[in-house]
Amino acid sequence: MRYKELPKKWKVITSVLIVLNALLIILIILFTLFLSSYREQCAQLRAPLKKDDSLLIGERMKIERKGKESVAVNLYMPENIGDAKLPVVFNIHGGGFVGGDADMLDTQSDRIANEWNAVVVTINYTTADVKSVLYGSEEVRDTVMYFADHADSYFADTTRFTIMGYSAGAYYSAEAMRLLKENDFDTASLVLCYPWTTGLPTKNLSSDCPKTLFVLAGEDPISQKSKSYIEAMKAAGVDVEVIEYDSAVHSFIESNNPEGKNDSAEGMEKVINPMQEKMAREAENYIGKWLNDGKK
Amino acid sequence: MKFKELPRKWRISIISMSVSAILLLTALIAYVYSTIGSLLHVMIG
Repeated sequence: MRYKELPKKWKVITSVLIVLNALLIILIILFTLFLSSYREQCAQLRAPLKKDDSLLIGERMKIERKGKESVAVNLYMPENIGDAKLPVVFNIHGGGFVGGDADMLDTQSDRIANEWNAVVVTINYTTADVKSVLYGSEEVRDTVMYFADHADSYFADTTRFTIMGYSAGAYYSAEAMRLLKENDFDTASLVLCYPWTTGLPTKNLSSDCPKTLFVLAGEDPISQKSKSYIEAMKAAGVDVEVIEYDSAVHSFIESNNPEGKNDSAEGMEKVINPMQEKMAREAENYIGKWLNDGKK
Repeated sequence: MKFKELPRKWRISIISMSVSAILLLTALIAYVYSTIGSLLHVMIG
């Protein structure tokens, strides 16, 4: 029996199935093209943020991992290292999960390493256009574990490890803290600056979680949206402190550094200006003091 | 005409196309989930 000879009902069913299969193949091809172009766009946006090696203040390092790709990090040691072991701050950049670069935090990390007398590590986690958010969080976790395992080489005090993240970086920080807890490693504290909290799980929160400081910006919807997560943390018994800068905007802390004041900063006058910079330095001082309050 | 009454060739064709449509749909969902699934999760919640 030929197609033309089929009863009408079976002709329709056969035609629908042919169209459906063709449509699904086209969708898979279109999605592949979209993904490739999206990844290319994201990579192009990230590229100018990378500093030339000769201009980088920190030291580039690769954290090797068994059976996985290495993690690129920048290391900042304070100028005056005494006999005492140092706290370690893992400084996690933001960028909407698909942007940003650890090099954006170069000047700031060098400054806080000296002002807070701490080892500072910035991490170039794999962004979510390339690998899952969990994969990036695992890179942060593995970096923390590397410094815990090699603490003596870096004068690191493993009881004073802090993960500090901005915006999407705060999401990675909170997830890394959860993964570290699963590894039976407790970080001393967590600092979440104007954190992106949508999708962050709350069911694993407990009073065992490290003390957490939230730095919020009053003029930032993302900061305001994080308040329900803050309440969930408090309800779970986590030691939470919140500081809010009423007239601050999103990314005011890391943007008001030389790396934020490049050509791509056009139209960023609301974020990069003397008033926001003043609040950024105040926030850094506050965080430094807050971290030292927990000094053992 | 019922499905069973169709010639064998058409029965196989219809079953093959149905299975293929289900597999392609599953592949598309798995592909999206494995690539940008976590990004969608953090964006939408």
